[in-house]
Amino acid sequence: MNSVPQKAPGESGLYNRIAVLRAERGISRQQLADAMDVNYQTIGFLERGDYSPSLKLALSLGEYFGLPVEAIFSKQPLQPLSQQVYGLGRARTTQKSEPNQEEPQ
Amino acid sequence: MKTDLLLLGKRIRMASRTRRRWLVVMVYAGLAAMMTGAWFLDHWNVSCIWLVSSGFVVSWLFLGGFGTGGLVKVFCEPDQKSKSMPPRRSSPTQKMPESMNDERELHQRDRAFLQAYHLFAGIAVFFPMYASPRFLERIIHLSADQIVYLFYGELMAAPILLFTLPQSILLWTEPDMEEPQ
Repeated sequence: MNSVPQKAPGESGLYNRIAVLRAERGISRQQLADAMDVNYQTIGFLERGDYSPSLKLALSLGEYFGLPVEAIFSKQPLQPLSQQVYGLGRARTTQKSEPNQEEPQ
Repeated sequence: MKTDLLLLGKRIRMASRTRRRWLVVMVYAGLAAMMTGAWFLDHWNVSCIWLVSSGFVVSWLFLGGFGTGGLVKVFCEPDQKSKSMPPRRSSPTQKMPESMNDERELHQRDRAFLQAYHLFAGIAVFFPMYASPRFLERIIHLSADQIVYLFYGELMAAPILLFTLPQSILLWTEPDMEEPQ
């Protein structure tokens, strides 16, 4: 199972996190396909970026994973979610701590 | 597209694109052989009806698209005639039937029909245009009878192509199918 974000956008020109999100939740392609009312082959095409979904399917995926659509699909290469979330957090803390460090000077 | 071809109660695995391409080649080779054989038999006088019918049978048995048999799912399901994406499930827990096309498959179907239309229109328009009796008589030195048979052959091949080309394009172009994980 592919648990790393896509390196290439595939035919659709879209990057996505479907494989990662599916692996995190421990669900199979078939289970996701059943929930989305599509065939499991289509999930494979989506994960590889070979098919750009309809707005309806993209919204359904967002609803299913409890994430906004832009967190699942992107035109730019996607960073790992953990890096994106904790990386941002670290950046904020360093931003906050920097003025304090500068104060004594 | 279905992963297995059901033939005389036997399931044949056709998930690989190479296998599907072989099937398409075999189907058209078989139809071409039948056309040639029928020409030698009665110069397509009566056998033309059987030949055109065989196109439908081949489509129904192997290729699909217009019936329950074959590899390609039914192109136009009753509830897909009015809407492109109708509500299919009565309850969220109900699984989508395997015979139904989802949005990607509908998109692939439309693309295959467009390609088939281009190919078919090309043959239908340019063949009679370039294969004019004068050209055939002077350049290829065909007799008047042979020219008539050439056009007759094209007329016979047209309905066969019409009912087999979109499925063949789909079977030819779709990549290897994966197993459900």
